[in-house]
Amino acid sequence: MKTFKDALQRLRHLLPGERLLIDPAHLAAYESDGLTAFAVTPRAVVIAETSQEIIETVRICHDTGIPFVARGSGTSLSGGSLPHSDGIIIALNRMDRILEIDPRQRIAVVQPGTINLAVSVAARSHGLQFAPDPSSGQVCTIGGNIAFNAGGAHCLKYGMTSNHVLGIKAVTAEGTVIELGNRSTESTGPDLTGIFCGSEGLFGIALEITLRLVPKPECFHTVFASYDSLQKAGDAVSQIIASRMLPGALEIMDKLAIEAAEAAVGAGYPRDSEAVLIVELEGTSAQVEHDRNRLSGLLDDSGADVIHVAGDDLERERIWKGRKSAFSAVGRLSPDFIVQDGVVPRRLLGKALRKIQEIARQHKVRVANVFHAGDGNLHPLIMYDGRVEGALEQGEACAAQIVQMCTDMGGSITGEHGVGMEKRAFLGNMYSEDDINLMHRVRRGFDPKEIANRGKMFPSGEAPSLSLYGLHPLEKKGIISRE
Amino acid sequence: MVIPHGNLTKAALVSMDADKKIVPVDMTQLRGILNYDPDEFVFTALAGTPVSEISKTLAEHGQFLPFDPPFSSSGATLGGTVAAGLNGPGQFRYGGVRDFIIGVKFIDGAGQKLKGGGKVVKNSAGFDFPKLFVGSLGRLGILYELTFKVFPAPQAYMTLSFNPGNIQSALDTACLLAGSSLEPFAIDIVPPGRLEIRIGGNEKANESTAGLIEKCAGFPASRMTGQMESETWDKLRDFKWAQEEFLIKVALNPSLLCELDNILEKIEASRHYSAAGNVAYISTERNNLLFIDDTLKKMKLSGVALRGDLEYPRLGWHPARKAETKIQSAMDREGKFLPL
Repeated sequence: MKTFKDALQRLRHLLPGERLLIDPAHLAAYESDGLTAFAVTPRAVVIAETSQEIIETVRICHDTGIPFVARGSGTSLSGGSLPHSDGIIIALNRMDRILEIDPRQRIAVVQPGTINLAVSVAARSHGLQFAPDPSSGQVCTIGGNIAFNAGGAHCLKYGMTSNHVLGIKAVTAEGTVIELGNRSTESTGPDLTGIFCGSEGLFGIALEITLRLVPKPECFHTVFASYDSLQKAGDAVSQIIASRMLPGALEIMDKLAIEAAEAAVGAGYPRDSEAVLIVELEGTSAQVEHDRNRLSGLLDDSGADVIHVAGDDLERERIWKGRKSAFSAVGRLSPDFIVQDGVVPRRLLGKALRKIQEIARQHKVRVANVFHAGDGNLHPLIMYDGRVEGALEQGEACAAQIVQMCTDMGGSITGEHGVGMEKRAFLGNMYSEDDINLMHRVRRGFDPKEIANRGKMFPSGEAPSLSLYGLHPLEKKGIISRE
Repeated sequence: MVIPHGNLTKAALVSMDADKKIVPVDMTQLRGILNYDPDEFVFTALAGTPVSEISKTLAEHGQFLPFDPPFSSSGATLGGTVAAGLNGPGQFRYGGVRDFIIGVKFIDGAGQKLKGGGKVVKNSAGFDFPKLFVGSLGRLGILYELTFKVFPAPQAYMTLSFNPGNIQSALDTACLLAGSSLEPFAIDIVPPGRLEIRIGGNEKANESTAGLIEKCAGFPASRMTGQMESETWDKLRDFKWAQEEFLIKVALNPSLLCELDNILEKIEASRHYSAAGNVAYISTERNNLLFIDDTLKKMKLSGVALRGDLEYPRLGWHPARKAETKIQSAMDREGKFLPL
């Protein structure tokens, strides 16, 4: 492997020893991401501290043809930051500076390793926030949010990460620095910022990102309602949508998820219910006051067993904590799990949930459900025990059937986690060979040697050698969660 | 070479050369809403569908296009609005066309039918071609079918007019309100120093929000509701104020607004600012074009001409051109579209 030796030699000139990891013990920490079923050991890890180091590292990779994977906190649920066995990891955690917050223009300029939540924390004193709020917001980084176009619980109203990115300075996989977008919410010319977001790291690495900040709503009205059937909860969502309200969030959890969340954080959800619906209204107090009366009437007529309104911020936080920790809490019920994030048209949610239970029975696996009901984004959590031979395969077969169901219903294979490693076999469910060839060509425009995140997203991608792995260490500690 | 076009409301984007080497592709007959499901907040329509037709259909179900498409009453089509990347004043509340487009079908230079995105409101599978086509100026492919997310429309609107008197005060107030939690739908600045704030929601809520906006601004406002109110914005969306040959859009940011405005004042160009200082529209004569182009370059601002006879519509600073060329060569191998 002369080329790798060449690359390593050049990297040694570029970086001090403690920031170029080659010792297997050090590399082990980078073997896996949020898709914990798989692990691959990279050849080396570069811990970058400056944009110039990233640019130089990418140039070395391009010259030598060594694949690289950019990695923030490694929380990707689609295996997006899984290493390549012949390649290196470029770790961006130390590129975590917020370079600028401009409250007048309502923008933040950040480095890619900046933690998602840190942006909102920094903007808070100006009454502003960064709207995308994935459940892993305490840990996941903006670079990763951009690569996989991360979502969260408030996407119906606010959109995804890409809707909040105005400009990106990036290095392409060829080592060229490009500037996309600007500091305005407007642009001229094709929206390259838009296509860079969600490109799954296949074009290159974002170095500096200009984010749009939005004012924090003046007031919130957060309610949960419990039901004796998922159908009733789903019908309530349809009623709310039909009433011309635009809630900030509409979330449903099923029985298994409720039990787990209650055991973990005690959010106050009734344990004996089949479904809990969380509705959050937000906006000016005058508008929320008006909408809350309508909402209250709708929920009263929706057949709910218990309706509970958060009386203060603490209670609101508790309701959300239950929701956001639901999946890691389900981890208590099973040593391993796979989470899907397919999307179905909202009106088919009830049908989709029944079908998921059917599929689960067929495969003899348990599935818990938490989903963004407002935008039809499912999150079936498929439980298996990785120590039992064939269990992972069984879980994967169940997951595959669920993904298929989503596209059969006219939906998407992924709402917010991206295709990554996990769903690349299904990209063809949504796009023709010609469509996918076009994606290949666009990618090669920025990465002719296909070294940036090689093996991800494309169906025919070269598979890194995989091995079975357990839960993500941070997940075991309950620090991060899957949404 | 080909250039697709609709009703030519942004004629500067459609080069009609005298020697007919560029073939215009008239999309206006490819019209109609193919699917609209109000419960899903989604519709799909053919590219030549007038946006006014779509707005009308949505309004029957209490929904609207939150990006507030310009030139609506002049016949703007959905495809043209996307290709031009144009948003109306109402974009301030929920975002622009890029924030609501979720799926595209298009024809490439080889005549292949291709697609990007999907038909559900949330989707992160594959490259986001729908966004890429926003502002693509008909030069990356011929859009023929588009899918959008829509929102419930506010029950009523109210407009508050402030007259701080000069551009700096108008901008200061605009920024103050833009950063507040009062959720205005539109924040437009009309030189020399007027500010138009549009709010939307339940009528009673609007009354109370209007009071808070006046308090926040520190000025009394004149209030407008009903038909006169909506006509005011219709006129703005149709650029009735812009009388000169050329109409130019500039992607701006509030920090540079006053500087740009001073320069434009000196050459007596009419202008209007929208989205709390994030976009400028300039109406001017041909003899100012070079100067404006040069000014934009110096200020690192990008612009595009929407009206007026020009060989190439883009003005000012375009740092992404290198990347655009890469994308264009990947998408148009046959060279059937005009260079970006």
